Amino acid sequence: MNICFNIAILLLTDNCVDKIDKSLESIRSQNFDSKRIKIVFVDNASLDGTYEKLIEYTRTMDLAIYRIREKCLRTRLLQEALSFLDFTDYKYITLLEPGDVLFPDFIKSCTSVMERHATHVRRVLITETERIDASGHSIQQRPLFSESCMLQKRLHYPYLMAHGTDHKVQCFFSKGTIPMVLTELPFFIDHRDLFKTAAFSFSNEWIYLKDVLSRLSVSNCEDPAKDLMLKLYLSIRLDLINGTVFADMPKGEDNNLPSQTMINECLANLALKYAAQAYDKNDHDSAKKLMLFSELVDETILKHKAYQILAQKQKSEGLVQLITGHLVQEITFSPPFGSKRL
Amino acid sequence: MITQKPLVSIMIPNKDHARFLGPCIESALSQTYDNIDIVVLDNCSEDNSVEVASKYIKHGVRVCKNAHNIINNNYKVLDRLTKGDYMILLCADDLIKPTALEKCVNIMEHHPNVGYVHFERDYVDAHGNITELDPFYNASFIAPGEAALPIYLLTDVAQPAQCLIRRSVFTQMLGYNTEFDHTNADKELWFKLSLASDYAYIREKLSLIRIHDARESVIGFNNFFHPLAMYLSIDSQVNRGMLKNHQNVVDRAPAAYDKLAQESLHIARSCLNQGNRTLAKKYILFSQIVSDTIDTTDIFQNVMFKLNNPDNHKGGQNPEQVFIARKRNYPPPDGFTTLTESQYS
Repeated sequence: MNICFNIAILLLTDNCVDKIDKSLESIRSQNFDSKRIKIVFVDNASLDGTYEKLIEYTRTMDLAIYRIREKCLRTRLLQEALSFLDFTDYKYITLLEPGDVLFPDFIKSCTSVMERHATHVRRVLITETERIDASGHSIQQRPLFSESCMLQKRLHYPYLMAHGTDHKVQCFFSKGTIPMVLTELPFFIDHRDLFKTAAFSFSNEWIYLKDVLSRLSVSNCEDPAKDLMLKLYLSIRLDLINGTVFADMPKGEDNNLPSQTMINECLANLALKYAAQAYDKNDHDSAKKLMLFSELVDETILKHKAYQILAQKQKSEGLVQLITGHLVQEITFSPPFGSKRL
Repeated sequence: MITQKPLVSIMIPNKDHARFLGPCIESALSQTYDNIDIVVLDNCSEDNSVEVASKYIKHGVRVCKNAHNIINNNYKVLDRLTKGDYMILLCADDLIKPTALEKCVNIMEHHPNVGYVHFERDYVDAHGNITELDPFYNASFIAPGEAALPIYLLTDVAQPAQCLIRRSVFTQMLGYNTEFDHTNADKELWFKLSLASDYAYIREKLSLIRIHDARESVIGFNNFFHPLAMYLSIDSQVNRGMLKNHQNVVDRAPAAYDKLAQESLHIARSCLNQGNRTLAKKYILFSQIVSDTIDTTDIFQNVMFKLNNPDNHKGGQNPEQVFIARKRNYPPPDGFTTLTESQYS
């Protein structure tokens, strides 16, 4: 492939001095012409030496660095970052969280697929990832779909919801997609995960690559109850606009879309997982609320083994391990209605 | 030299409200204020709404058909479709009285710092029967927006059809947060407007809000959308960073969550009256999640008793009517200046 375009990798930093090395090293190790990779850092007024470290890096690497004067919310930071990108010549862009790692073939594989299949509407690519928790342990993540495919418009969202929206992917966008996603959003979510934001744009078609091409760290949810409320809210909203957004889909079971019941089961499952984590941390108040939430979204949860274990053994430790085997596993779907296999 | 009066854009979003749409448009057309621009935005109605609306094209009403029903994107789309110096979102099932806009514009023109004006309302049912409501405040006034902020954490005071907005302030606050459904988006909107401008309130019933089973907010109660949006709305107001200098608002957050829990129990009771135990249980669980102390209250015990001892009493009110029974008027926010009728009529 004759490459004559650039790829921008955007990193938003906020007091993460210890996480930069890993990510930068993974960018350096890409099996791709390094001159074609434009690394752009936007620092959210960090005070832990992040910014100084980035400046230090400029001695040996070609980096663009912008520093915001006053700390702002993530959404605002992203908007600022996109305005700085106007000065960068690139065709594709990916957003890398500090501490996350791209595998050596990430850019090569993504550009190769996008060059063959991207169109003016098919301009978002998602790849599977390895997830690791704060202690460095790998967390199992079943692939979203059984094979790589090109999805019809809007179809990504319900499937992600059916994974309890806990599924991590790495995104790779054509230029212009992200600002457009932000402005076209039918509802704007100030969320830490750009992907969840982008997921709400119904105007793009998505390419799904089943290959695992990155390693993303999963931090514990700061406020699990709020996170679940937001997810439930979003899923009901999707259900409300189903009639018009999915108007051209076949009706009923033929359309193969995950149902609200399926989504609720996933949310209940997620709530139990968070509850077990809270009990393990001796945070009984949060744990109880999370169990109430699981009951709120799924009445039948009371009969589930995982719920009963939590209800009976609220004071023991190691509950996460104890219930893991009893949680409902994520589902790998067949490529949905209307998608093309890659 | 003749000075052109400022233009007021009346934006009417509609989804399947054909039976109410005619009276709504006529209420807009019959305004005593004469420089108005009326746009109907139809959000993929499946009834004959477009047919109803198109009858008014000859009166200068613009009828637009939206590509999707994006639920709460109305302000965003209508903002682009209109150019008025002032704007009002008139839901297709609601009505405004003839002098509503004239009175609001009078205030806004004399007080350039006022970014939005609220006025009072009564409820009207699907058959046109009116339920009179007590006004929220005990006087008409202008107050600093800052002083109104803590109030919006606890309640929304008014619905979109009770508010005229100055477009320059709407633009200044960088548009409209469409994260929330319209029943909460309005509250979010009042909140953001108050951060940017002064606030005026007319203690006169200049609109009629339609209460019926097909109303979006009633649907929102039934599919559990409403309480979640309320919860996220409070969280958004408290945690968005825009309140870093407003500790007086942040301090009210626990009270706001407690109030949400109490309202949830009122709705639960209404659901039980209607025989919907499943939904009632959801609201009860929700109240326990959002408030740490709700299960010690009398209303909680009362609702639990009702849940566990179902009687034959059925056919209660729809959930929205639960909120009708406000029995007191509140004094205006701090720093207010009273408005007399002669100042805005």
